[in-house]
Amino acid sequence: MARVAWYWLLSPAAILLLLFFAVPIVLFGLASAHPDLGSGVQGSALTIGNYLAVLTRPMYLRSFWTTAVLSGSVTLLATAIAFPAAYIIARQDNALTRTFLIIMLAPNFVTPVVRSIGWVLSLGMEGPINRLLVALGWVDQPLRMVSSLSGVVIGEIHYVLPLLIFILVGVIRRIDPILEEAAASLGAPRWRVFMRVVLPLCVRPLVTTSLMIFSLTVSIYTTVVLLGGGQVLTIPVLIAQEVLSRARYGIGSALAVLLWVMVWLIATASSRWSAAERGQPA
Amino acid sequence: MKAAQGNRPGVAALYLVALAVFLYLPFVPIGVVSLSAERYVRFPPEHWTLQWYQAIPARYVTSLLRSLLVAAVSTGLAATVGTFAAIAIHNGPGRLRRWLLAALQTPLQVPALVVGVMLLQFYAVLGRGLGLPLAESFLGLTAAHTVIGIPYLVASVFAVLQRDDRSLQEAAASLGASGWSILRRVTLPLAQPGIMAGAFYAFILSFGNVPVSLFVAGSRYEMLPIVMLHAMEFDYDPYVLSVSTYTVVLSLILVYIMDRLIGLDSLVKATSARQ
Repeated sequence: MARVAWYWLLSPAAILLLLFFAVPIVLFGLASAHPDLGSGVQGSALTIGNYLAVLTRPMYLRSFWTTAVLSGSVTLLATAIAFPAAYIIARQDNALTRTFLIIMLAPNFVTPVVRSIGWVLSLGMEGPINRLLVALGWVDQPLRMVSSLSGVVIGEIHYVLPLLIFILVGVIRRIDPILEEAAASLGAPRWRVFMRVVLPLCVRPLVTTSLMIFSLTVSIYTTVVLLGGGQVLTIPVLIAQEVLSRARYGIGSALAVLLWVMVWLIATASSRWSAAERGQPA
Repeated sequence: MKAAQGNRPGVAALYLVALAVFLYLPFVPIGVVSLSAERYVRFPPEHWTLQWYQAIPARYVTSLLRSLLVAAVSTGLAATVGTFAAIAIHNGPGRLRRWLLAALQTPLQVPALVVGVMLLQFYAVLGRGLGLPLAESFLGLTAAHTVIGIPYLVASVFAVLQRDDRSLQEAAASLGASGWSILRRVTLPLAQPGIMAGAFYAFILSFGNVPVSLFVAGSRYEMLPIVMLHAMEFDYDPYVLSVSTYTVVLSLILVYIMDRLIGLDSLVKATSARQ
């Protein structure tokens, strides 16, 4: 049987990735180990100085902390918001909820820059949300949401919510509704069924999903830079500053390597969890 | 399901409606403020105008055309090599399958921003060492966006092929079809929904890409998302909002078409599947 040999079919993609991905990775790893001499020039000596600087200077340590706090709060809040919605959509599987799922997925495909611009306008001091809050008498003064962590949190929740709802609908659909019906038929009130039956069954996939969302949000740039207005300095923002404004490629690359290690560790932990989950009897 | 229906289905419906409002909320002020005659952000506008929708400055038009061109070419490239790669993995030796699939997905495991920093340095080295001017050029950006797109194509095409279990290809072969004609007449038609889903996602991702373009595009080859980002970050310009409105409308039309063609849920499923 004359089949086209599989390795010929594979080679164009392999060559492209080798040239424009694997080789650059090596160069970039090397760049992180050479000192910055100023105005974009790097010395030839090998050093771990960039990593030491990044891991000891308060500015960078603060940035790691900000990044973790931001991603942590976005993950927790977004999961808390998405879970009930996913539960409703998964358990009332009809034309209406399916339409809702499509409606909720659509914004996912609008350019992140535009979504962030929308939030900058919505959350501004004189924006519609502040005007509404003041008009309703809920706050005396307009809240500062743009150029603060809260604005970035809202923007990032908006960023991850469609994907998160979609994933959680899949998670909940895998749980047999018979378990809930059994609990309900034994007289358990609905909130109790939810807390004692549904939630415990979701713990593992929830952890996996949260880790995925966390690693996704750790590397967000656009939302942070537009809604943070220079006040929220996460690692991606610092990388862009070091590389583009200060031309310090050594420090920038070391930060980028550490960001990648962070994401990689979380992804590994997440796949361990999901592997353990698959090993369990369903 | 009794547990969810209960006596107050209104609460569930209200919750979903509130979420949908949240998800579409940011697009409203873009549209409203884009109609404001003022040169600064004012909500609600005092005087209304359509002037920002006419005679869009060349800077936006040029960068829009560039972004569309790079997205189209890089998606085409990624779709071609990605589809072949997925077929290769599907037909190749079973014990290599998981490993090859993981290897082609590695660009997904690296934050896009890191890919941008990497390619910036790589292009600088190529420019200095070999005189290849990839930095801030059409070729450099297209290559970068192709690398980002390949994993999505591989994942979505492979997922579709897995459903067939190779039996159709083997049937065609047993009837005497040649390798290329099996590929063209059997495998590619089978892979088509996967190709479409992956290509659509790669196009959207490339068109809106910031983290890679920010480093690779520079001032000599400006891309639309970067122009918009900088206009919002440094010097506000009312055209940002009219261009944003155009972008939102175009994206939603595209999403609607894709939903009709292959279904948005299967599209997200195909592209969010990791392995």
